[in-house]
Amino acid sequence: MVLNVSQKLIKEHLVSGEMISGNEIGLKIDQTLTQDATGTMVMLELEAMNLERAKTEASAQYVDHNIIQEDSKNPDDHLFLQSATRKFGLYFSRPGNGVSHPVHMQRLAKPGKTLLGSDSHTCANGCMGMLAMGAGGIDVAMAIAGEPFYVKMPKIWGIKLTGKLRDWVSAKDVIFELLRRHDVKGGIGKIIEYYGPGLKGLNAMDRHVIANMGAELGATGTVFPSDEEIKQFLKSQNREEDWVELVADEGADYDLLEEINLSEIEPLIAKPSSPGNVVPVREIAGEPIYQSYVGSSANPGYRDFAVTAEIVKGRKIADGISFDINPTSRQMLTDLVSDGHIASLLSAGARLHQAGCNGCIGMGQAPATGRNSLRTTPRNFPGRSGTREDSVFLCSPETAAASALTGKITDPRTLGFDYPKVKEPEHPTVDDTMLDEPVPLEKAREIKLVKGPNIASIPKMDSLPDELEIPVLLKMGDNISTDEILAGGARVLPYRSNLPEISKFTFEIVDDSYYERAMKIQKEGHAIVGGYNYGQGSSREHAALAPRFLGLRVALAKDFARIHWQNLVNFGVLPLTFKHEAEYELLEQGDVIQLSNLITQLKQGKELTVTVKGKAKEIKVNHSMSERQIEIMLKGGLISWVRERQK
Amino acid sequence: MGKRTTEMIVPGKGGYPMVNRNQICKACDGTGLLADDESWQYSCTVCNGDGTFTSGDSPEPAKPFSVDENNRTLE
Ligand SMILES: [Zn+2]
Repeated sequence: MVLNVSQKLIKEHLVSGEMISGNEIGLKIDQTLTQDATGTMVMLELEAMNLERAKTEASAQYVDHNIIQEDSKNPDDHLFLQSATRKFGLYFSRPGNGVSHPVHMQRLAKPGKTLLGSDSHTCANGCMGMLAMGAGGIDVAMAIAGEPFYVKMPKIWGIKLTGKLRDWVSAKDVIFELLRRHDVKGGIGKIIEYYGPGLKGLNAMDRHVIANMGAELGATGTVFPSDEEIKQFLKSQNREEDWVELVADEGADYDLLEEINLSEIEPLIAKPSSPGNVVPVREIAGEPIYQSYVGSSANPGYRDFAVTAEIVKGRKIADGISFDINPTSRQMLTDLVSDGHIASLLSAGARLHQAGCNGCIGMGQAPATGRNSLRTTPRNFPGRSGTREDSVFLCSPETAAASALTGKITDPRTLGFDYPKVKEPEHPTVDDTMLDEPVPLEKAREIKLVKGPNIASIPKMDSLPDELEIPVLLKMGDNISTDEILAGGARVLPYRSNLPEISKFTFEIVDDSYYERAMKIQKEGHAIVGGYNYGQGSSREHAALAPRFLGLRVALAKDFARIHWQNLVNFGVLPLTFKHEAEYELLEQGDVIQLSNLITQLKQGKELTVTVKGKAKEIKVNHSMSERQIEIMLKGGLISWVRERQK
Repeated sequence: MGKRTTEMIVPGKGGYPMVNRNQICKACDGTGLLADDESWQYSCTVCNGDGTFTSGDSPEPAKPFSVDENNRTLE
């Protein structure tokens, strides 16, 4: 059978389902990646699962997000994460070692493997001939525990690259071209696979840039072949033995086809406030800027910083510009220092920051209100920079450097000097001093988790009872979001590693008596009722986990937002929909609902009967769980389900 | 379900908006920003990023938000 690279990767890792687009498939996961913002919960989940040791080939925990340490909470988390990695057999990348995606690529990524990460830009490592995907924290915890990752079989979108990038144009402009054509939803349900003669001109880190921002198209993943270029990259990292060739078979087919002629691309820029709002730089040249920011996993390469340095070398940046340099890995920073590039940047007027995600994720370097900030980062939706009324443009390092010199948005081709040719270091620094290796099992068994005052274990959750008689504690309308269930604001977020504490904020925006009322009957449990699109909005696992901790057993709604529905199932809350939507009106806050023979009912079909006590009302409801999900629900959620399997 | 309205904020002497403590949005604590699981910040959906909230307003969002398969908010 003739296969493309994505199909080969999926076929090699398929544990369930058929490779027909739209069908659910289960994939074996070889490697995982967690960052510190999502990682603390993942490690607490591993503890609650009673996991002895990671079952993946390599799992790494990176500390790259919360590294400002303005009080003790960040460093407490860091120590906890380090102890957890030692206990569970994971790699630990210390604060200052760099951004997860480029560091993983340098030190651990392997062609032909699958990688699941609790960070939406995990797809960046698709540049290495891997199937790399972003997912929720609980999905990654499951993968570390050796369970497959379930996803709908994506369509494979083949993009043939031809031609060669011209001077002043680089990899970032290639992904902008795709975003210009297809906008931020164009990749949903697809894996983007690049092939063709144009690949020759793109080094491994250039491919990282392109793969990283596949996330901005909403793609499931981005895949590049593992070719001679990847072999050279691994050789430069003293890991040549990790290379295997992985290319599409001659005559391989794709579900969708498209071509990008690299020779025709010009410098592009994404205007505020969407990565899909792409125009040629020349169209908006001359607009004044306040900040020029270089770094992030969307431009992490040595080349990206070196070309910036060469453009500003011997020159001065425009008056009043904040020129922020954010190296992406410590290894690379070392080379940029020894090759003189950091000196060129500093002499030109740059501000140098530590290796990490930093301002990309809004941790520092927030722009002034309403002032134009040019960034080589991947995302510019409102507020992502940490400034409420921000005006962020996304661009290449060439455009960022040119604009820093002039103080205005500048097409780098108009600078009036030759494009500097940058040479990669012949022997780049390889240094694992800050990447702790997994501790051997015998030693790991003796390690105790180091929990600061704000970190608490996830309590044991019970299985689903066969009979339920529980009150409706809340009845809500349509479009209730995860923000209303549990907001991710400054008061709440510090408690995200402390379930009993964070639960106190549950539904406080809808009804601030909910917590007290739920706690009174925490053991017996309760239900809630919602309208359409219940649980919509941003990703927040706590919006399912916290109500569950407070005793939520049944969520009855007209319909659910997809991810929240999945989170409810994962954490053992039964999501039910009305068979007849008009019956939503029959239920009131305070009603007591009864579900009998629940286990049998769930196993027998999709329809269940809910009785409203004392009202002689019967309401028909549906569930849409698969057999696998029913099993999980009966055990009380994924954590208990896995915990039992560890025995 | 009431419609959300934004109360006009009168700038104080220093140019900063006058703060009425009773009207600070509970979700974002007046910052106008919330963060998702990965720490990406976005405009608070409860107060529409104003940071304030008038009593009697329904906290219910006026419309569904745009999100993708991975619940990346697209607004
Ligand atoms: Zn708010």
